[in-house]
Amino acid sequence: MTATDHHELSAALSALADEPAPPAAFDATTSIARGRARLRTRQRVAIVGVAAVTALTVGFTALLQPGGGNAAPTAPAASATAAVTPAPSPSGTAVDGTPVLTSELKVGWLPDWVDREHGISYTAGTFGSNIIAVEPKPGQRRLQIVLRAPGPEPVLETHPDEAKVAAAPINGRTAYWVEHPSQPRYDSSSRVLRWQTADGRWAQIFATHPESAVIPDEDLIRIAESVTGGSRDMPMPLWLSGLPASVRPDSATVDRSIGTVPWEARVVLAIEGKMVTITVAPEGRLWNLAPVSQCRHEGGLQICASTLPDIVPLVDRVGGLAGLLNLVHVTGADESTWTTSNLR
Amino acid sequence: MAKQTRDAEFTEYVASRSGWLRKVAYLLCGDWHRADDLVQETITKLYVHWAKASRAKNVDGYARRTLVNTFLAEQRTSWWRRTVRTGTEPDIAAASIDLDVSLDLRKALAALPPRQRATVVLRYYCDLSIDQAAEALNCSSGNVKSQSARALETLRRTLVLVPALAERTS
Repeated sequence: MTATDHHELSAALSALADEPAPPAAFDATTSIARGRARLRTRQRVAIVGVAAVTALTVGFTALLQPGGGNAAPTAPAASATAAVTPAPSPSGTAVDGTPVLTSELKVGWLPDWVDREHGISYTAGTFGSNIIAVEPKPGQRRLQIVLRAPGPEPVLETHPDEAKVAAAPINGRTAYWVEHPSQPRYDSSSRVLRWQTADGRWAQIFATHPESAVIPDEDLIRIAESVTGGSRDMPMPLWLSGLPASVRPDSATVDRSIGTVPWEARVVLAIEGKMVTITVAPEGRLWNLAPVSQCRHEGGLQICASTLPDIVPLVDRVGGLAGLLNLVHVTGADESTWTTSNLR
Repeated sequence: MAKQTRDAEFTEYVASRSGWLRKVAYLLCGDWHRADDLVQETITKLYVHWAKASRAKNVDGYARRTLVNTFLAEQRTSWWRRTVRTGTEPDIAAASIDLDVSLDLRKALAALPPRQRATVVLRYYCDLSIDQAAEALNCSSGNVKSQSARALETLRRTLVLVPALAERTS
Protein backbone atom coordinates (compact mmCIF):
# COMPACT_ATOMS: atom_id res chain seq x y z
CA MET A 1 0.00 0.00 0.00
CA THR A 2 1.40 3.35 -0.99
CA ALA A 3 1.45 6.49 1.13
CA THR A 4 -1.24 7.94 -1.14
CA ASP A 5 -3.48 4.93 -0.60
CA HIS A 6 -2.92 5.16 3.11
CA HIS A 7 -3.83 8.83 3.12
CA GLU A 8 -6.92 8.33 0.98
CA LEU A 9 -8.24 5.49 3.09
CA SER A 10 -7.58 7.48 6.29
CA ALA A 11 -9.41 10.48 4.85
CA ALA A 12 -12.35 8.35 3.74
CA LEU A 13 -12.65 6.75 7.18
CA SER A 14 -12.49 10.16 8.84
CA ALA A 15 -15.21 11.49 6.56
CA LEU A 16 -17.42 8.50 7.35
CA ALA A 17 -16.92 8.93 11.10
CA ASP A 18 -17.63 12.66 10.86
CA GLU A 19 -21.05 12.21 9.28
CA PRO A 20 -24.00 13.65 11.21
CA ALA A 21 -24.98 11.22 13.93
CA PRO A 22 -28.04 10.80 16.14
CA PRO A 23 -27.76 12.02 19.73
CA ALA A 24 -25.53 9.78 21.82
CA ALA A 25 -27.34 7.23 23.97
CA PHE A 26 -24.65 6.53 26.56
CA ASP A 27 -23.33 8.45 29.55
CA ALA A 28 -20.73 8.28 32.28
CA THR A 29 -23.26 8.20 35.10
CA THR A 30 -24.79 4.94 33.86
CA SER A 31 -21.34 3.39 33.62
CA ILE A 32 -20.50 4.51 37.15
CA ALA A 33 -23.71 2.93 38.47
CA ARG A 34 -23.13 -0.29 36.52
CA GLY A 35 -19.45 -0.32 37.37
CA ARG A 36 -20.14 0.02 41.09
CA ALA A 37 -22.66 -2.81 40.90
CA ARG A 38 -20.03 -5.03 39.25
CA LEU A 39 -17.44 -4.09 41.86
CA ARG A 40 -19.89 -4.91 44.66
CA THR A 41 -20.62 -8.28 43.05
CA ARG A 42 -16.90 -9.02 42.88
CA GLN A 43 -16.48 -8.08 46.51
CA ARG A 44 -19.36 -10.35 47.52
CA VAL A 45 -17.90 -13.22 45.48
CA ALA A 46 -14.51 -12.64 47.11
CA ILE A 47 -16.05 -12.63 50.59
CA VAL A 48 -18.04 -15.81 49.91
CA GLY A 49 -14.90 -17.46 48.52
CA VAL A 50 -12.76 -16.54 51.52
CA ALA A 51 -15.52 -17.57 53.91
CA ALA A 52 -15.79 -20.95 52.21
CA VAL A 53 -12.01 -21.50 52.32
CA THR A 54 -11.95 -20.38 55.96
CA ALA A 55 -14.75 -22.74 56.90
CA LEU A 56 -12.99 -25.64 55.20
CA THR A 57 -9.71 -24.75 56.90
CA VAL A 58 -11.32 -24.47 60.32
CA GLY A 59 -13.15 -27.75 59.87
CA PHE A 60 -10.10 -29.57 58.59
CA THR A 61 -7.88 -28.12 61.35
CA ALA A 62 -10.43 -29.13 63.97
CA LEU A 63 -10.39 -32.69 62.69
CA LEU A 64 -6.59 -32.81 63.05
CA GLN A 65 -6.63 -31.51 66.62
CA PRO A 66 -6.29 -33.91 69.53
CA GLY A 67 -9.78 -34.95 70.50
CA GLY A 68 -11.06 -34.93 66.93
CA GLY A 69 -13.63 -32.29 65.99
CA ASN A 70 -14.76 -31.55 69.50
CA ALA A 71 -12.28 -28.80 70.30
CA ALA A 72 -13.54 -25.22 70.49
CA PRO A 73 -13.21 -23.18 67.28
CA THR A 74 -9.95 -21.34 67.04
CA ALA A 75 -9.65 -17.59 66.90
CA PRO A 76 -7.46 -17.20 63.77
CA ALA A 77 -10.38 -18.03 61.49
CA ALA A 78 -12.23 -14.90 62.53
CA SER A 79 -9.19 -12.66 62.11
CA ALA A 80 -8.49 -14.09 58.65
CA THR A 81 -11.98 -13.19 57.56
CA ALA A 82 -11.74 -9.72 59.06
CA ALA A 83 -8.53 -9.06 57.17
CA VAL A 84 -10.26 -9.31 53.78
CA THR A 85 -13.50 -7.60 54.69
CA PRO A 86 -13.90 -4.75 52.21
CA ALA A 87 -14.98 -1.26 53.03
CA PRO A 88 -18.72 -0.80 53.51
CA SER A 89 -20.66 -0.73 50.25
CA PRO A 90 -21.70 2.66 48.82
CA SER A 91 -24.49 4.34 50.72
CA GLY A 92 -26.81 7.13 49.74
CA THR A 93 -24.16 8.91 47.70
CA ALA A 94 -24.23 6.22 45.00
CA VAL A 95 -25.74 7.20 41.67
CA ASP A 96 -27.55 3.93 41.11
CA GLY A 97 -30.88 4.70 39.60
CA THR A 98 -33.33 3.65 36.99
CA PRO A 99 -34.03 5.31 33.67
CA VAL A 100 -37.35 6.94 32.87
CA LEU A 101 -36.94 7.11 29.10
CA THR A 102 -36.51 3.60 27.75
CA SER A 103 -37.33 3.51 24.07
CA GLU A 104 -38.30 0.15 22.61
CA LEU A 105 -38.36 1.45 19.07
CA LYS A 106 -35.46 1.42 16.65
CA VAL A 107 -35.74 2.76 13.12
CA GLY A 108 -33.17 1.45 10.66
CA TRP A 109 -33.89 3.88 7.83
CA LEU A 110 -35.01 7.49 7.60
CA PRO A 111 -35.16 9.79 4.56
CA ASP A 112 -32.16 12.02 4.09
CA TRP A 113 -34.16 15.20 4.75
CA VAL A 114 -34.39 14.31 8.43
CA ASP A 115 -32.04 16.33 10.64
CA ARG A 116 -30.38 13.43 12.43
CA GLU A 117 -28.34 15.60 14.73
CA HIS A 118 -31.00 17.98 16.00
CA GLY A 119 -34.32 16.73 14.62
CA ILE A 120 -35.08 13.44 16.36
CA SER A 121 -37.24 13.29 19.48
CA TYR A 122 -37.95 10.31 21.71
CA THR A 123 -40.87 9.52 23.98
CA ALA A 124 -41.57 6.34 25.92
CA GLY A 125 -44.14 5.42 28.49
CA THR A 126 -47.05 3.19 29.32
CA PHE A 127 -48.50 3.73 25.82
CA GLY A 128 -45.35 2.44 24.07
CA SER A 129 -42.52 4.26 22.32
CA ASN A 130 -42.55 7.15 19.92
CA ILE A 131 -39.96 8.79 17.66
CA ILE A 132 -40.52 12.10 15.90
CA ALA A 133 -38.20 12.99 13.04
CA VAL A 134 -38.36 16.42 11.47
CA GLU A 135 -36.80 18.44 8.71
CA PRO A 136 -34.61 21.30 9.99
CA LYS A 137 -36.89 23.98 8.55
CA PRO A 138 -39.99 24.85 10.64
CA GLY A 139 -43.31 23.72 9.20
CA GLN A 140 -41.73 21.23 6.88
CA ARG A 141 -41.82 17.44 6.69
CA ARG A 142 -42.37 15.50 9.89
CA LEU A 143 -42.65 11.81 10.79
CA GLN A 144 -44.14 10.41 13.95
CA ILE A 145 -43.39 6.72 14.38
CA VAL A 146 -45.15 4.91 17.22
CA LEU A 147 -44.69 1.39 18.54
CA ARG A 148 -47.60 0.69 20.85
CA ALA A 149 -47.43 -1.33 24.03
CA PRO A 150 -48.73 -4.91 23.58
CA GLY A 151 -52.47 -4.85 23.13
CA PRO A 152 -55.32 -5.08 20.64
CA GLU A 153 -55.42 -3.36 17.28
CA PRO A 154 -56.06 0.37 17.83
CA VAL A 155 -59.42 1.69 16.72
CA LEU A 156 -59.82 4.30 14.03
CA GLU A 157 -60.35 7.39 16.03
CA THR A 158 -59.53 10.59 14.18
CA HIS A 159 -62.59 10.87 11.98
CA PRO A 160 -65.88 8.92 11.71
CA ASP A 161 -65.39 8.37 7.98
CA GLU A 162 -61.91 6.94 8.30
CA ALA A 163 -61.27 3.67 6.56
CA LYS A 164 -58.62 1.01 6.36
CA VAL A 165 -57.12 0.64 2.91
CA ALA A 166 -55.04 -2.49 2.57
CA ALA A 167 -51.32 -2.03 1.99
CA ALA A 168 -48.78 -4.64 0.99
CA PRO A 169 -47.74 -6.64 4.09
CA ILE A 170 -44.85 -5.16 6.08
CA ASN A 171 -42.32 -7.91 6.74
CA GLY A 172 -45.09 -10.43 6.10
CA ARG A 173 -47.53 -8.92 8.61
CA THR A 174 -50.82 -7.01 8.21
CA ALA A 175 -50.48 -3.41 7.07
CA TYR A 176 -52.94 -0.76 5.97
CA TRP A 177 -53.31 2.94 5.28
CA VAL A 178 -55.73 4.91 7.41
CA GLU A 179 -57.52 7.17 4.94
CA HIS A 180 -60.41 9.54 4.61
CA PRO A 181 -62.61 8.04 1.87
CA SER A 182 -62.52 11.10 -0.34
CA GLN A 183 -59.19 12.54 0.79
CA PRO A 184 -56.60 9.81 1.35
CA ARG A 185 -54.14 12.45 2.49
CA TYR A 186 -56.74 14.33 4.51
CA ASP A 187 -56.00 18.01 3.88
CA SER A 188 -53.31 17.00 1.38
CA SER A 189 -50.70 17.07 4.12
CA SER A 190 -50.98 13.84 6.06
CA ARG A 191 -50.54 10.12 5.53
CA VAL A 192 -51.04 7.32 8.04
CA LEU A 193 -49.58 3.82 7.73
CA ARG A 194 -50.34 1.23 10.36
CA TRP A 195 -48.93 -2.28 10.60
CA GLN A 196 -48.35 -5.17 12.95
CA THR A 197 -44.77 -5.89 13.96
CA ALA A 198 -43.13 -9.30 14.19
CA ASP A 199 -43.96 -9.61 17.91
CA GLY A 200 -47.63 -8.76 17.36
CA ARG A 201 -47.50 -5.17 18.56
CA TRP A 202 -49.04 -2.40 16.47
CA ALA A 203 -47.00 0.37 14.95
CA GLN A 204 -47.92 3.49 13.03
CA ILE A 205 -46.33 6.24 10.99
CA PHE A 206 -48.11 9.58 10.93
CA ALA A 207 -46.47 11.68 8.26
CA THR A 208 -47.16 15.36 7.70
CA HIS A 209 -45.76 17.49 4.93
CA PRO A 210 -46.39 20.64 2.90
CA GLU A 211 -48.10 20.16 -0.46
CA SER A 212 -44.86 21.06 -2.19
CA ALA A 213 -42.90 18.24 -0.52
CA VAL A 214 -45.05 15.12 -0.37
CA ILE A 215 -43.41 12.18 1.40
CA PRO A 216 -43.69 9.23 -1.02
CA ASP A 217 -45.57 6.15 0.18
CA GLU A 218 -42.52 4.10 -0.78
CA ASP A 219 -40.49 5.98 1.83
CA LEU A 220 -43.08 5.33 4.55
CA ILE A 221 -43.12 1.62 3.68
CA ARG A 222 -39.33 1.52 3.75
CA ILE A 223 -39.30 3.15 7.19
CA ALA A 224 -41.91 0.68 8.43
CA GLU A 225 -39.87 -2.26 7.13
CA SER A 226 -36.84 -1.01 9.02
CA VAL A 227 -38.59 -0.70 12.39
CA THR A 228 -37.36 -3.15 15.00
CA GLY A 229 -37.79 -3.57 18.72
CA GLY A 230 -35.01 -3.41 21.28
CA SER A 231 -34.80 -1.63 24.60
CA ARG A 232 -32.63 1.48 24.80
CA ASP A 233 -32.22 3.80 27.79
CA MET A 234 -32.02 7.41 26.63
CA PRO A 235 -30.10 9.99 28.69
CA MET A 236 -31.99 12.95 30.11
CA PRO A 237 -30.80 16.19 31.73
CA LEU A 238 -32.60 15.53 35.01
CA TRP A 239 -33.05 13.10 37.85
CA LEU A 240 -35.70 12.78 40.53
CA SER A 241 -35.17 11.78 44.12
CA GLY A 242 -37.53 11.10 47.01
CA LEU A 243 -40.70 10.76 44.95
CA PRO A 244 -43.68 9.90 47.18
CA ALA A 245 -44.90 6.33 46.72
CA SER A 246 -48.11 7.54 45.11
CA VAL A 247 -46.24 9.45 42.41
CA ARG A 248 -44.86 7.38 39.55
CA PRO A 249 -43.49 8.31 36.09
CA ASP A 250 -45.96 7.67 33.28
CA SER A 251 -43.87 8.74 30.31
CA ALA A 252 -40.76 10.71 29.40
CA THR A 253 -39.71 12.72 26.38
CA VAL A 254 -36.67 14.38 24.91
CA ASP A 255 -38.19 16.71 22.34
CA ARG A 256 -36.11 18.47 19.71
CA SER A 257 -38.95 19.66 17.52
CA ILE A 258 -40.12 22.62 19.61
CA GLY A 259 -38.64 25.52 17.69
CA THR A 260 -38.60 28.06 20.53
CA VAL A 261 -35.93 26.16 22.51
CA PRO A 262 -33.28 23.73 21.19
CA TRP A 263 -34.69 20.87 23.23
CA GLU A 264 -37.12 20.10 25.98
CA ALA A 265 -37.04 17.15 28.39
CA ARG A 266 -40.29 16.14 30.03
CA VAL A 267 -41.26 13.57 32.62
CA VAL A 268 -44.99 13.06 33.11
CA LEU A 269 -45.77 11.95 36.66
CA ALA A 270 -48.98 10.10 37.45
CA ILE A 271 -50.75 10.74 40.77
CA GLU A 272 -53.79 8.52 41.11
CA GLY A 273 -54.21 8.56 37.37
CA LYS A 274 -53.84 12.35 37.04
CA MET A 275 -50.84 13.89 35.36
CA VAL A 276 -48.23 16.46 36.36
CA THR A 277 -45.50 17.36 33.88
CA ILE A 278 -41.92 18.16 34.83
CA THR A 279 -40.21 20.15 32.09
CA VAL A 280 -36.52 21.00 31.78
CA ALA A 281 -35.29 23.17 28.91
CA PRO A 282 -32.78 25.88 28.09
CA GLU A 283 -34.04 29.40 28.71
CA GLY A 284 -36.66 30.42 26.15
CA ARG A 285 -40.39 30.38 25.62
CA LEU A 286 -42.10 27.18 26.73
CA TRP A 287 -45.37 27.05 24.83
CA ASN A 288 -46.77 23.77 26.08
CA LEU A 289 -46.82 24.14 29.86
CA ALA A 290 -50.13 23.23 31.49
CA PRO A 291 -52.19 26.21 32.79
CA VAL A 292 -50.95 25.99 36.39
CA SER A 293 -47.18 25.98 36.63
CA GLN A 294 -44.23 26.81 38.84
CA CYS A 295 -40.67 27.20 37.57
CA ARG A 296 -37.17 27.74 38.85
CA HIS A 297 -34.02 28.65 36.97
CA GLU A 298 -30.65 26.99 37.38
CA GLY A 299 -27.50 26.99 35.28
CA GLY A 300 -29.16 28.38 32.17
CA LEU A 301 -32.03 25.92 32.41
CA GLN A 302 -35.65 26.42 33.38
CA ILE A 303 -37.24 23.66 35.44
CA CYS A 304 -41.02 23.69 35.61
CA ALA A 305 -43.81 21.62 37.11
CA SER A 306 -47.23 22.12 35.54
CA THR A 307 -50.68 20.60 35.65
CA LEU A 308 -54.39 21.31 35.08
CA PRO A 309 -56.34 23.44 37.59
CA ASP A 310 -58.63 20.61 38.74
CA ILE A 311 -55.62 18.44 39.61
CA VAL A 312 -53.99 21.01 41.89
CA PRO A 313 -55.75 19.76 45.08
CA LEU A 314 -54.44 16.25 44.39
CA VAL A 315 -50.93 17.60 43.80
CA ASP A 316 -51.11 19.58 47.04
CA ARG A 317 -51.48 16.29 48.93
CA VAL A 318 -48.00 15.27 47.78
CA GLY A 319 -46.31 18.61 48.46
CA GLY A 320 -47.73 20.75 45.69
CA LEU A 321 -45.98 21.84 42.50
CA ALA A 322 -43.27 23.57 44.56
CA GLY A 323 -42.67 20.39 46.55
CA LEU A 324 -42.38 18.27 43.40
CA LEU A 325 -40.08 20.85 41.86
CA ASN A 326 -37.73 20.44 44.83
CA LEU A 327 -37.34 16.76 43.92
CA VAL A 328 -36.03 17.62 40.46
CA HIS A 329 -32.26 17.89 39.95
CA VAL A 330 -30.60 18.83 36.70
CA THR A 331 -27.28 17.63 35.28
CA GLY A 332 -26.73 20.55 32.91
CA ALA A 333 -27.41 21.77 29.40
CA ASP A 334 -24.36 19.95 28.00
CA GLU A 335 -25.67 16.66 26.63
CA SER A 336 -22.48 14.85 27.64
CA THR A 337 -23.63 15.27 31.26
CA TRP A 338 -27.07 13.75 30.71
CA THR A 339 -27.88 10.59 32.56
CA THR A 340 -30.02 7.47 32.42
CA SER A 341 -30.08 7.20 36.22
CA ASN A 342 -33.20 9.31 36.50
CA LEU A 343 -34.93 7.85 39.54
CA ARG A 344 -32.71 7.72 42.60
CA MET B 1 -8.32 7.00 45.51
CA ALA B 2 -11.33 8.68 47.10
CA LYS B 3 -14.54 7.67 45.43
CA GLN B 4 -15.61 11.21 44.62
CA THR B 5 -12.27 12.06 43.06
CA ARG B 6 -12.29 8.83 41.12
CA ASP B 7 -15.79 9.52 39.78
CA ALA B 8 -14.94 13.11 38.91
CA GLU B 9 -11.78 12.08 37.05
CA PHE B 10 -13.63 9.33 35.24
CA THR B 11 -16.54 11.61 34.25
CA GLU B 12 -14.13 14.25 33.01
CA TYR B 13 -12.25 11.71 30.95
CA VAL B 14 -15.44 10.30 29.41
CA ALA B 15 -16.74 13.79 28.62
CA SER B 16 -13.53 14.65 26.79
CA ARG B 17 -13.21 11.36 24.89
CA SER B 18 -16.77 10.17 24.31
CA GLY B 19 -16.99 11.69 20.83
CA TRP B 20 -13.77 10.05 19.74
CA LEU B 21 -14.68 6.67 21.24
CA ARG B 22 -18.10 6.83 19.58
CA LYS B 23 -16.57 7.43 16.15
CA VAL B 24 -14.13 4.55 16.54
CA ALA B 25 -16.99 2.33 17.71
CA TYR B 26 -19.09 3.40 14.74
CA LEU B 27 -16.34 2.52 12.26
CA LEU B 28 -15.96 -0.86 13.97
CA CYS B 29 -19.63 -1.82 13.91
CA GLY B 30 -21.19 0.42 11.23
CA ASP B 31 -24.29 1.37 13.22
CA TRP B 32 -24.71 4.32 15.57
CA HIS B 33 -27.04 2.49 17.96
CA ARG B 34 -24.65 -0.43 18.31
CA ALA B 35 -21.79 2.03 18.60
CA ASP B 36 -23.49 3.65 21.59
CA ASP B 37 -23.99 0.26 23.23
CA LEU B 38 -20.33 -0.54 22.61
CA VAL B 39 -19.16 2.73 24.13
CA GLN B 40 -21.44 2.32 27.15
CA GLU B 41 -20.03 -1.13 27.83
CA THR B 42 -16.48 0.05 27.17
CA ILE B 43 -16.62 2.95 29.60
CA THR B 44 -18.29 0.71 32.19
CA LYS B 45 -15.31 -1.65 31.97
CA LEU B 46 -13.05 1.38 32.10
CA TYR B 47 -14.74 2.53 35.32
CA VAL B 48 -14.38 -0.89 36.93
CA HIS B 49 -10.63 -0.80 36.17
CA TRP B 50 -10.23 2.97 36.54
CA ALA B 51 -7.60 2.67 39.29
CA LYS B 52 -5.36 0.83 36.81
CA ALA B 53 -6.49 2.63 33.67
CA SER B 54 -5.96 6.11 35.06
CA ARG B 55 -2.37 5.22 35.97
CA ALA B 56 -1.62 3.85 32.52
CA LYS B 57 0.95 5.76 30.48
CA ASN B 58 -1.59 6.03 27.67
CA VAL B 59 -5.15 6.15 28.98
CA ASP B 60 -6.51 6.61 25.46
CA GLY B 61 -4.67 3.49 24.37
CA TYR B 62 -6.17 1.58 27.28
CA ALA B 63 -9.66 2.81 26.39
CA ARG B 64 -9.16 2.00 22.70
CA ARG B 65 -7.94 -1.50 23.52
CA THR B 66 -10.96 -2.04 25.78
CA LEU B 67 -13.28 -0.85 23.02
CA VAL B 68 -11.76 -3.12 20.38
CA ASN B 69 -11.81 -6.12 22.71
CA THR B 70 -15.43 -5.42 23.60
CA PHE B 71 -16.29 -5.25 19.90
CA LEU B 72 -14.49 -8.49 19.10
CA ALA B 73 -16.00 -10.26 22.12
CA GLU B 74 -19.43 -9.12 21.01
CA GLN B 75 -18.81 -10.62 17.59
CA ARG B 76 -17.88 -13.92 19.16
CA THR B 77 -20.98 -14.09 21.31
CA SER B 78 -23.12 -12.54 18.56
CA TRP B 79 -25.74 -11.38 21.05
CA TRP B 80 -26.60 -8.42 18.86
CA ARG B 81 -27.56 -10.65 15.96
CA ARG B 82 -30.57 -11.82 17.93
CA THR B 83 -31.85 -8.26 18.29
CA VAL B 84 -31.99 -7.30 14.63
CA ARG B 85 -34.63 -8.08 12.09
CA THR B 86 -34.03 -11.31 10.22
CA GLY B 87 -32.52 -10.74 6.84
CA THR B 88 -31.36 -7.20 7.47
CA GLU B 89 -27.79 -6.67 8.54
CA PRO B 90 -27.52 -3.51 10.63
CA ASP B 91 -24.64 -2.27 8.51
CA ILE B 92 -26.79 -2.23 5.42
CA ALA B 93 -29.82 -0.76 7.14
CA ALA B 94 -27.76 2.04 8.60
CA ALA B 95 -25.82 2.60 5.40
CA SER B 96 -28.91 3.29 3.39
CA ILE B 97 -29.63 6.52 5.23
CA ASP B 98 -26.53 8.20 3.95
CA LEU B 99 -24.92 9.34 0.78
CA ASP B 100 -23.87 6.88 -1.88
CA VAL B 101 -20.21 7.62 -1.27
CA SER B 102 -20.46 6.70 2.38
CA LEU B 103 -22.56 3.71 1.49
CA ASP B 104 -19.74 2.30 -0.61
CA LEU B 105 -17.19 2.58 2.16
CA ARG B 106 -19.57 1.29 4.80
CA LYS B 107 -20.52 -1.68 2.65
CA ALA B 108 -16.88 -2.38 1.97
CA LEU B 109 -16.07 -2.26 5.67
CA ALA B 110 -19.08 -4.43 6.49
CA ALA B 111 -17.75 -7.06 4.11
CA LEU B 112 -14.62 -7.46 6.23
CA PRO B 113 -14.41 -10.02 9.04
CA PRO B 114 -14.43 -8.28 12.46
CA ARG B 115 -10.71 -8.67 13.14
CA GLN B 116 -9.71 -7.33 9.73
CA ARG B 117 -12.12 -4.47 10.18
CA ALA B 118 -10.63 -3.66 13.57
CA THR B 119 -7.16 -3.75 12.00
CA VAL B 120 -8.19 -1.28 9.30
CA VAL B 121 -9.77 1.10 11.81
CA LEU B 122 -6.75 0.99 14.12
CA ARG B 123 -4.20 1.38 11.35
CA TYR B 124 -5.91 3.88 9.04
CA TYR B 125 -8.31 5.82 11.28
CA CYS B 126 -6.49 5.74 14.62
CA ASP B 127 -3.20 5.94 12.73
CA LEU B 128 -1.49 3.30 14.87
CA SER B 129 1.76 1.66 13.86
CA ILE B 130 1.80 -2.08 13.24
CA ASP B 131 3.27 -2.68 16.70
CA GLN B 132 0.72 -0.42 18.39
CA ALA B 133 -2.14 -2.14 16.55
CA ALA B 134 -0.73 -5.52 17.58
CA GLU B 135 -0.77 -4.43 21.20
CA ALA B 136 -4.35 -3.17 20.93
CA LEU B 137 -5.46 -6.40 19.29
CA ASN B 138 -3.36 -8.55 21.61
CA CYS B 139 -1.69 -10.36 18.72
CA SER B 140 1.66 -10.42 16.93
CA SER B 141 2.87 -7.78 14.50
CA GLY B 142 2.94 -10.44 11.80
CA ASN B 143 -0.71 -11.12 12.42
CA VAL B 144 -1.53 -7.43 12.02
CA LYS B 145 0.39 -7.35 8.73
CA SER B 146 -1.45 -10.34 7.35
CA GLN B 147 -4.84 -9.08 8.55
CA SER B 148 -4.12 -5.67 6.99
CA ALA B 149 -3.06 -7.19 3.70
CA ARG B 150 -6.19 -9.33 3.47
CA ALA B 151 -8.42 -6.43 4.49
CA LEU B 152 -6.92 -4.07 1.92
CA GLU B 153 -7.24 -6.69 -0.77
CA THR B 154 -10.95 -7.02 0.01
CA LEU B 155 -11.37 -3.25 0.11
CA ARG B 156 -9.63 -2.90 -3.24
CA ARG B 157 -12.06 -5.36 -4.77
CA THR B 158 -15.18 -3.72 -3.35
CA LEU B 159 -14.41 -0.09 -2.72
CA VAL B 160 -15.29 2.43 -5.38
CA LEU B 161 -14.88 5.34 -3.01
CA VAL B 162 -11.12 5.56 -3.48
CA PRO B 163 -10.52 5.39 -7.22
CA ALA B 164 -6.77 5.29 -6.76
CA LEU B 165 -7.06 2.02 -4.92
CA ALA B 166 -9.30 0.48 -7.53
CA GLU B 167 -7.23 1.67 -10.48
CA ARG B 168 -4.00 0.29 -9.10
CA THR B 169 -5.46 -3.17 -8.84
CA SER B 170 -7.28 -3.25 -12.17
